[in-house]
Amino acid sequence: VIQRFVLPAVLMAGLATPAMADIGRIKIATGGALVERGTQKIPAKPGLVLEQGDTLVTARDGRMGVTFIDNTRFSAGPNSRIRLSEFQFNGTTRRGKFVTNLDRGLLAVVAGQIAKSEKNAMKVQTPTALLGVGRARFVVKVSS
Amino acid sequence: MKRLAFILIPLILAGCQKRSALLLFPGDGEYPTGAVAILDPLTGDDVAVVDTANSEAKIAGRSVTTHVITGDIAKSRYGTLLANLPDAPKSFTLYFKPNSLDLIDQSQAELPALLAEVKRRAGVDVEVVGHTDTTGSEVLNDELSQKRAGEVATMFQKLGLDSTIIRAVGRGERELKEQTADETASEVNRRVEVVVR
Repeated sequence: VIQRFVLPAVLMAGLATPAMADIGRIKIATGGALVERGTQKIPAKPGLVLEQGDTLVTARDGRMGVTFIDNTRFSAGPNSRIRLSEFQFNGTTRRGKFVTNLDRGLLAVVAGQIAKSEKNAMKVQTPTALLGVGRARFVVKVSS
Repeated sequence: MKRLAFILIPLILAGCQKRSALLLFPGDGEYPTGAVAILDPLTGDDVAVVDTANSEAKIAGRSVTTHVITGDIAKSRYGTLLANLPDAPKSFTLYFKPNSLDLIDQSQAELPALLAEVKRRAGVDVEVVGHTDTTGSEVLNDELSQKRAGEVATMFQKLGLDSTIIRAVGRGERELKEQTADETASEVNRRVEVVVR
């Protein structure tokens, strides 16, 4: 089952312009952890390149650590669903836009250069809250 | 029956109601406490700003309650979560002999530590950021810094780094290490920063 998911991801990475598609990489993955990309479910593992629109999904025993190209860092807790809805970053100007949707679960954030570049350039949206992120370290939790 | 539904439906909705909470961690030497703004989901205007370390905010749209937590909450409640944050990116600055791609001796001596850092990290990626001094036009310096970054990226490939983990970027004269007037030559500003993530 794993092979079937990994192969298309590898092919995609080869076809896409790496500099454009690459928004960050998974650094840590334990337990049930995967990345949803369209209809694909890609097992999370260190080195997996993330793209705008990807969703990070962890099971009850799952955890994930991600570093983005603007140096923002994420730690996803168990039972979490995190959509990387929008990510734009200009390496030359170090400005951009980063919108994350935390649908459920737990997310620790160390904000990077996008958050620093302009007020509310980085946002985290939950089912009941909209956050404008400055250069800060914090945890967001969604419980039902 | 109608009355029962009247009572039950709000109860069910309340049961399904999701709650969001925010906890802001204190800064340390390198990193400020910073701030997170709670925005009106419809207008995007600030409803509240959380900028006190260890503040916890409970949020339901425009409704926000905030209190400051005492004790070491970060470790006791979120220890595992924080342990799974990837290491902070590590930055190395390389300097070059005038008009050449040869590193100065001091930078050459830093290479083993840089390569060891690349090897140490799981799922590593490396960003090579070129910087110029203020000699020449901004447009030209963007090109020059990009070219220099590209050359250093090629050097790293020759040292055995996988090309798919390297990104080369030019910052031109936007981030001077020493502040100078325009059109000033500076060995300190002509540099390449290598960020290991």
